[in-house]
Parts: sequence; C-alpha cells; structure tokens
Amino acid sequence: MAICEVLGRPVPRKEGVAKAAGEFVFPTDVVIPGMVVGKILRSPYSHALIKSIDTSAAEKMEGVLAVVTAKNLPVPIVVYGQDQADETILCVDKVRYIGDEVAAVAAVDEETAQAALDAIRVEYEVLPAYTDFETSIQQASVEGAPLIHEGKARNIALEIHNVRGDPERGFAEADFIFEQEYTTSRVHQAYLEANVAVAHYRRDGRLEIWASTQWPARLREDVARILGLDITRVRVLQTQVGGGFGGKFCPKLALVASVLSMKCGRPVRIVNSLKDDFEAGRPFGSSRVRVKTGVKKDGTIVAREVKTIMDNGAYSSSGLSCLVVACTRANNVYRCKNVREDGYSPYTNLVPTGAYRGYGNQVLAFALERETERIARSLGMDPAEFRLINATQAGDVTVDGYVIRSCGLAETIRWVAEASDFKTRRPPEGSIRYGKGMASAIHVSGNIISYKHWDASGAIIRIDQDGKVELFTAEPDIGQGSHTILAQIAAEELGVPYEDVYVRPIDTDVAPFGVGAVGSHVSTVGGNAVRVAARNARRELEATAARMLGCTPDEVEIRGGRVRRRGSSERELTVRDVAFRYYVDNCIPLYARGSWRSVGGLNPETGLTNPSSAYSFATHVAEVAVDVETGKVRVLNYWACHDVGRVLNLAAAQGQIEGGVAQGIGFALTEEMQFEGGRVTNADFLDYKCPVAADMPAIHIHFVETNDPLGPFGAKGLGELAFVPVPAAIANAVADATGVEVTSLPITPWRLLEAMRSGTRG
Amino acid sequence: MKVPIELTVNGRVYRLDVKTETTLLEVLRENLGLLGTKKRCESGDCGACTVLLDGKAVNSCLLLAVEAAGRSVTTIEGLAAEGELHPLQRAFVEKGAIQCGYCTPGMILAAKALLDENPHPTEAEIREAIAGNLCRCTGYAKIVEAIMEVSRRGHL
Repeated sequence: MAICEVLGRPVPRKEGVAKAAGEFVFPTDVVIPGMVVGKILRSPYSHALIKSIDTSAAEKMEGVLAVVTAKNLPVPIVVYGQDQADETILCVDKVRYIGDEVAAVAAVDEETAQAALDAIRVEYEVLPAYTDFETSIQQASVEGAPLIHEGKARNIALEIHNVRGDPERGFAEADFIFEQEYTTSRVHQAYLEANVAVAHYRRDGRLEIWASTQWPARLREDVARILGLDITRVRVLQTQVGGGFGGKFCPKLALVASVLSMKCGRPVRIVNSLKDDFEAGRPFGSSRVRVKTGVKKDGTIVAREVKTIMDNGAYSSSGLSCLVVACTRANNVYRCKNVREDGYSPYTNLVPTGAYRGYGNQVLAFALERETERIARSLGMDPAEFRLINATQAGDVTVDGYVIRSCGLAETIRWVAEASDFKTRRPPEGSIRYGKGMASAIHVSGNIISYKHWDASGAIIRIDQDGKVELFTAEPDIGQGSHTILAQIAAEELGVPYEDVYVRPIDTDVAPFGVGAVGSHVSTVGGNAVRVAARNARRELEATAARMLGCTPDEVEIRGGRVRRRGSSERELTVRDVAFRYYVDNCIPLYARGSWRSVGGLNPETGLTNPSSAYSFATHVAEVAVDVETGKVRVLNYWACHDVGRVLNLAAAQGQIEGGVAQGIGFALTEEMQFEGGRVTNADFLDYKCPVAADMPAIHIHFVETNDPLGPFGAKGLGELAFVPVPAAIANAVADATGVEVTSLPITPWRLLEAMRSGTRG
Repeated sequence: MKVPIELTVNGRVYRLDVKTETTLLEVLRENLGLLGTKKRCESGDCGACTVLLDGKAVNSCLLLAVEAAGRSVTTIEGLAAEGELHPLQRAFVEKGAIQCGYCTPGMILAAKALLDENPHPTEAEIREAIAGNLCRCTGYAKIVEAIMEVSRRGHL
C-alpha cells in the first residue's frame, strides 16, 4: 500500500461550512423564477373505483394554472414501476391506498392550490380492502378473491423459492432443531427533509428537474421513459438532500411536477408535507419471518429454512428488492450450505413500501441473530464462540454465491466480546434488569441488482489552467459524506491537496453514469471510478511534465501538488504550472475519465448471483437496562466493530455507525407506523418516535481493516451495515435481561410486559 | 387580514405587512428569503426551524409572526459575525457533527441558547437541551462532542 497523503487524515467535509452557516441550498430551498405551487389530491379510500372526477370548478378558479388527472395528461399513460410495472403517474380508474395520487393542480400560491384541490369532486365506489398483509396471504389461495391489480393472477407481487445444498439431509443430520417466528412493524425512514421536486418543461422541449433523489441518473432515465421524452431532453439537477436512507428513490413527485409544468409552462414545485411523506412516501414494509435451524452438538449449523413475508404495499417500489435482499443476505454470515429461502411479497391496500438502509437485511438479521443467540444459549455455548465456529471467512464462496475476498468477521466478534466484557452482567437493582446481546451481519459494497444488473460508475476529472481539480460524478451525497470521500480519493491518486478538489453538484447534462446512493455503492464502486479517472489524469500530467522537465513520464513524481523528476531536486514544478502548459498546448483544460464495473454477476455453473465485488462485516453488542415493572428499555452502552476494508475518512465512518445505531434503536424500541383501516394514525414526529439525543447510549467503535483487493485503496461499503445488526443486538440484550422471548419489533413497553405476563421464556 | 409589524432579524429592523395567521417561519423563509431556517414538521416536534427569540430557542413554525413583533430574532444567518463562523459553527464542521445538515441550523441555535444560559453544561444537560431537535444522521454523538468542545474552550 502506497503512503497516503490525504486518505485517513481528518479533512473538513466539503460542504460543511455552507451547511453550518445556513447557506447550503437543499432541494426544498430551490427557487426558480416564475415557479408556482403544485399540489396533489390524494385518495381518502384504501381501495375504490373512480366513477368520475369533476375538475371544472377548480379549473375556473382565479390563480389556477393547471389541473391534471389521468384523463387529461399531456403524455400517454405508461404503467411503470421500480421493481415491477404496476403504477401510473395518476390513478386511472382505481385508487389502491389512502394517499394514492388522483389529481394534481398548479396554482400561483399555496392557498389557491389548496382551494383548487378542495373544489375537485371525485365520485368513488368503495371496494373491500386488504389493510394488512396477512389478509392478502390468506386470500391469495381463495378463488375469486378481489384483486388489487386487475390482470395479475393474485395479490402476490413476488415469490422467491431458493434451495441451496440439501436442507432435508442437513436437518436429518442435526442433533437439535430450533424454530421460531419473528415480526417487525412498518417503519419510516424519517429523513428530515421532505420529498420535493421542481420541474420546468421549457418551450424548447427541454425538461429540467431539481429533485430530492438518491439516484439522479436513474431518475432521468425513468422520467424520460415514462413521459416519452428523449433522454437528452431531460436534465436532472441534484442538490444534496436532507437525508434519504432508502426513502428517496421514487420518481412520483418529479413526474407529477413535470406533467403540471407541461400543462402550464411554468416551473412547478411540489413539496410533501410530513403527513404526505408518511401517507404516500415509500416507508419500509412490515414482515413475518419463520426460521428453522438445525445444529450439531458441537455448535455447527447444518441446515436452515427461512420463510419471509414482507408487505409490498399497493405498488412495487423498492419492496421487491427488499424481499430479495431479505431472502439472500443474512444467511451468508455463517457457513451453513443447506438452506431453503422462501419469500413472499403480498400486495396490500397500504402505502407502497420502499427501501430502508440495508433493504431487508436488518429484518432477517433480527430473526436470524435472535436465533443465533437463542441456540447458543440453549446449547450452553458462549454466543461469541458459537458465532466463531460458524463464521464466514476470507476465501469462502457462501451459500448464496458471494465470493468473499476479504473478511474480518471473526475479528469483529472477538473485539466486541472483549471490549464489552460480554460474559459479565450487572446485578439487578430493584425492578431494573441488565442484559447484553450480540449480533453479526454482512452487507454488500454495491449491488448488481440495484440497477438492471449493472453495478458501475463513471467519473470525469477536469484540471483547469490554474491546476484546480473538478470532479464530475452522478453519485450523490445524501449526507453520508461521499463527495468528501470521492474528493479524498481523487486527491490521493492525483497527488494534489484535498482543498484543490471540487466536486461538481450533480447535473445529468454533464455528469457520467452512476447508480446512485443505493446498496452502499458510492464510496466503493463510485470511488473506484474516481480513482481510475484520477490515475488517467495523473498520466496526462506526467506526460506534459516530462516534456517540461526533460525526462520520461515514468520518472515524474507528483506529490502534494508539486511535480519533479524522481530523485532529483534541481527543478520543481507545481501541478498548476503543468496544467497551465497543458491548457496552452491543447486549448482545453485537462480532461480524464474513468469507469469501474462490479465483478459481481451470475455464475452460470452454480446458477447463483454474486451481488457485489466486496462484502463488509460487523458485530455489535448492546447493553440494556430493562425496568420489568414498566417495560421500559434503555440502551446503556453500545459496541460496534466493523470490517470496512479500509477507513478512508475516520470521522465520516464513525458518523455512519453512530447514526446507524440511532436508527437501529428506533427500529428496535420505538418506531412503528400505526394504521387504522388503512390510514396512518401517527403521521407526525410526536407519535412516531425517533430517538432523540437523550435516548442515546455511549457508542464504542472499532474498525478492522482487511484491505479488500477490489475496494478503492482497500475500502468496502459501510452506510447500510451500520444499521443492520442494531435491532438484533438490542433484542438479544432485552431477551438476556428479562429471560423473555423477544420476537416482535419494536419492543414497546406494552409488548414487553405482555411477553413477560404470558411467560414465554427464552 | 394583514397587519403591519416591526421585526428585528439578525440586528436589522424590518417593517412588514403580514397576515395574522402567518408563522415566523414563513416570514423568515418567504418574505425575508432567509432559507437557512428549515421547515419540516410544522408542529414543533422536530426543531428544524429553531431560531432565537430574544435569545431563547423557539420553534419558528409554532410562533405567529405577529407574536414576534417588536422582538429580536436571530437565525443561523445571523450567527456568523462579519463572515467569521461562530465557534459553534466551526466546532460542528471540525468535529464531523454535520451529515445531511438539515437539522444543523436549528441544532446550532439550540446549542447557542443553552451555552448562553449555562456556559458549562454537563453532557446530560446538553442532551436534554437538544432533545427537541431531531437528527436522523449522526446519532447525536458528534453534535454533543462539538457543543462540549465549545463549552470547554470557554466559547462566545
């Protein structure tokens, strides 16, 4: 490994000062001259036929510039979907959830837009609704049961049935068989900034969109296809969003704002209220998971069956990808090769589901790591030791075909076991019981299923006449600090100071392709692309410098912005001198490009898909205090050890983990979208309880650096994995403290007291 | 109905005609173009819109503009004196307390209100003081560190 000048050293976040000063322009701050207000009329029913829509009164109102319904769209109706085509821009003849988009208006101001919505008359014929996924599953086998989507055979959007190895034989060889069922609730990503889109369809036929999106390149492609426009006529500008966590992939607002702008010729902005984001964003589906595990006396896991049901909601957004990840991820933490994976994604008349930091991995991690701890304790084994017996190692090809080139899983288990003093417990005090729980997890560094089996990225580097470096990427920073990290990688590879690298805000008119902030892709796959582009730029600099120094290009050394012949001190140039010379010689700044493509893919011999180039591992331990009288759980201490390959930016890496732990605490203890007859009843931050500063424990973090051969400078993904094991670790700690089975999330006081009363012992 | 009000924002006096139902948040963002104050829940539950009203942290989404009449409002834009970042702003940048940054303006102002009143708070007091400000990215660890650091340095 080369000596690092930039990586691993603390650097200020690129846009940190602008954010601290309140100058940073978020998507909700974008103001375009002539911009008007767009608003959406949403369905008040879970499931109903639209008999008629009368927009005449709204159209006549002063200040109303456009009213659109499926009947008068300026473009043909296209059925689209992220994971499966089943959705239209506005409802055609049916609504499928409370919040479904029925009509939209553009008006000069908020009040007029609202008044116009109120003036639209819709006649509905209410249909029976599926307001929970169990009903969908039960009815799926009933002949003639009402369908949510006509034309589909039944109300199941996706089924998965994988058999790896020989589960039957494995169970036959097992000394013990364990079975348990787990459930998780609907949760919301609770990104702090609203979903928003500003669209301007100009008279020259160009459509410009400023959007809160985690994948600008994909949004551009989706919008062009769905609206029937040439892709070069669509321009997406992404300013860094106020949090995403998987909740900002949906193109809906951009599409509705676009058709309104086509109608009225003005730039149109639609901002979701918090209620809109709860009712019609893309929250994360609830689940039921049944696990059966066969183990030998010595602690070897020999067989496993997992049946997963995750609510898809009314349309297929990211819900199906979540099911795929749920079925094929967490089983790869351990080496057991006899696995049956069954998955079902039922349609319901609830808000469509989206992704949430790790897709379905956190759900299965909860179920499987609860089982890991339960089995270990039943066998009288130390849970850390049980994990070590079964842990995946470098060189393995796992049960789902993951090619593991680097793996620090065992080290993460050993570190948290020792740092947390895992074997010791505080004695009870009054009604307080203390417990510790452990959980391990694996995750990808980019996933080839994220984008049409194409996990790749491009980067362009431009060095202007003053030697300053600009980086063009389509990989967004959604708060995780990826643009800072990409700038560090470029600076390191080029041999220039970090301060001299500027990352261009994403503009699809000039940016290359990038998958986006999905599947922990940006720093690794995107980072590799930047590194290749920077290496190509450095070669150009070396060629020009060689002519100036009278040596060969391979004798040129560039470090810290200085350029000289290696080993010689007689003459020294700066990157600025060389870039200026390049500019004068070529009449163009120095441009270099680079791209990188994941090595993952289908193995035709095994039929298994290796989803990523590199895999990250983590083990966490939570220590909790449970008041057995009130059922209240408090997380006292937290230990997180991660194999991230190589730490590129320590503060950012720690920040990912600290944030992941906070979201995991919410998922484990307090967060739950509540529904009554298909309607969200806690669509606010008072009753949907996200952790606040006072809820957080001390978090102890350690990194294991395994230097993955395919990661940029050895680095692997981190963002999602920081969150994945947290609910499991906390649930295990609560079970440890109380001796009660914890099978349902969130572990609210009521649920825990119920479990203690009913006496299900762990 | 519109009423005339006089509002001092970041030391500058504004005379405005506002509707009685208009919130301070709307006036700041829409009339004065001060977009650093963030809008989210509009019900006082997230703290993104926190500003200082006569030095006290308030949710500007819950306050009518007419209620702020004659009083002094400080927004995030008013914190950096003559372009020099306030020590809290600097500490947030240096400590990595900013990720997506959407909570940052409100969080910094809540911290300023705390330190103005209690220059040397305990960690628990800091966590309590910013408990009305949601952050979904950082887990609050580096935010608390940044505030402690400013307090240690003897801040403002």
